[in-house]
Amino acid sequence: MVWPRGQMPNSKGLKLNIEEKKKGTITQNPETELFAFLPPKADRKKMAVIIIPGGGYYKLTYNEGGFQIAKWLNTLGISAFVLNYRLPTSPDLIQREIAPLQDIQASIKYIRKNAELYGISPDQVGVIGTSAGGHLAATVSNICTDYTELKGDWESISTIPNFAILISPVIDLGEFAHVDSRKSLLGENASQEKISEYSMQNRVTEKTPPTLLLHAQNDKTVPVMNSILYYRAMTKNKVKGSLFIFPEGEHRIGITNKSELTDNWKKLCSDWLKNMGN
Amino acid sequence: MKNFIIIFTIFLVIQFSAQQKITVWPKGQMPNSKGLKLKIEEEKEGRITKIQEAELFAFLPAKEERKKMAIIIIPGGGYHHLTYDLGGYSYAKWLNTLGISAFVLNYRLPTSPDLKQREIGPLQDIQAAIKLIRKNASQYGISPNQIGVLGTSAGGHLAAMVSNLNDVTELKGDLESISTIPDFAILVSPVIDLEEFAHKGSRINLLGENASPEKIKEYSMQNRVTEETPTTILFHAQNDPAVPVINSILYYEAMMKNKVKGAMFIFPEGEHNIGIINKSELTDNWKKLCADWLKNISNK
Repeated sequence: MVWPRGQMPNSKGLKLNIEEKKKGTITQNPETELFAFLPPKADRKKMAVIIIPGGGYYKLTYNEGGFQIAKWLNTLGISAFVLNYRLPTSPDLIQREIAPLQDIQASIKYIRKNAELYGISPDQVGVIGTSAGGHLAATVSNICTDYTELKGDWESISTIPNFAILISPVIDLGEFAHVDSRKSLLGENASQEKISEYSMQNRVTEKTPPTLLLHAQNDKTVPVMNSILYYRAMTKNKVKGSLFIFPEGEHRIGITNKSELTDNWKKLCSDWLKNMGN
Repeated sequence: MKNFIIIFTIFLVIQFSAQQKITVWPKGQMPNSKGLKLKIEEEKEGRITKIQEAELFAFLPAKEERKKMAIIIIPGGGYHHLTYDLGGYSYAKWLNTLGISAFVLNYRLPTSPDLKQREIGPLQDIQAAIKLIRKNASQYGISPNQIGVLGTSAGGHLAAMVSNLNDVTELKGDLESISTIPDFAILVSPVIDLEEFAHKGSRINLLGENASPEKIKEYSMQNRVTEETPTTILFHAQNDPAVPVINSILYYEAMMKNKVKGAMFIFPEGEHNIGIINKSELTDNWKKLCADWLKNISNK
């Protein structure tokens, strides 16, 4: 449970059920939830990562794009938290496009607030997002406005992660958009301004945290230009990071991969995280 | 003293037998030469600044371990010198450990006083080298259809050039019909753009001080990519202070536009020194990535 009781913003107060159309894919999620995966105490490092599953902002592939990555991170001694966020398609929302952002922002605050309890450091809290989850990871990296409306000792905790890992991410909502993600997030008739505002390559600043991007050239769902645009914006703003583009892997770079070359992403990612941990 | 000389001689012989020197051009057929007699100049160890004619140094794996693939290594040095050891022999030895035959190309530098047309000298040499290796493939136990190029820095620019430009060797006879286009290319910290993101030294050495905007555009390799460009892998460090990382990105974007298959790996660290030995453990993974990529190519 991410939100303190009664403090979840942007809700009409409808009573909705969780809908899981097929195993591992949630299509309606009335309340934000985090699933903690902790390595054994003896192996546990100071680092924690919140995993943001994808699913075009209309579903959550929490198993393949969440739990699997969490288990892998645990093998590196890194604590993982899978975030099931409210989908912008939920009828309970008052303002659709900020709900996922509110949820990840609140989660980061929650993990930082309770860092000691988990034996981790509040200054080593990163995010991993796949596909539309990558868009949300980029959003929380760049939007400085705190939309959580949380008060008290929550208020002063930063919502910006210490690093971000974007896998096959949706970045652009314009020319190179994954159209379903845009429609789910912004609705059918979003204005040009809104589209530009939510195209994350336009939001990168010198304050953007270090970011690692992974993409397959033959991704037919989210064109690789999405990652390239973001990396170009990072380079322009002197944000440190990596961009790794594999010829194969389609829209399913994951914990198991058909291509031996693409499977190297895990080694690259864990070496990169080692640098972050130092 | 005499003993010392003998030992020294043996040492030289052993050093030499690790590689074999090959002249690229058939006698009397090297184009674009004024016929000057030049001496090899090595301004410091591992750094040649002047050569008379193009040379290849062959590094062959043991027969039992030799695969069908061969790679011509194009050293960098801003088109001003050739870092043939660090940017050549080192890569060759590493490729040999993968069972891949390697040939290090020392090309004529565009700064040579012997050249009639400076900017095509290096291109002619790599094109002739590819023809020669393909012609003699069976002699080396390799396949003429698995000949790649690996170029670092300005050598990456030359590797991109030979991937995209037409035959200017003027070779006749049985060499004439052999293709100059490599089967694949590996570009390490490559110079690509000669305009906005240029490594200035490379541009000035290749095109001269007062190159026209048309010429600069023509030799900016992101403008020359077509659907025929061979499959390419690019490596670059984000903190490269000599050749900005955008060079690789521009080339990869052009590849995407033209549906050329390939990969690009950009590491946060490595500066302009991505090599066989790297300070960063993350960057050092480039060899594994490259080896896995080469495995995929040889399976096709």
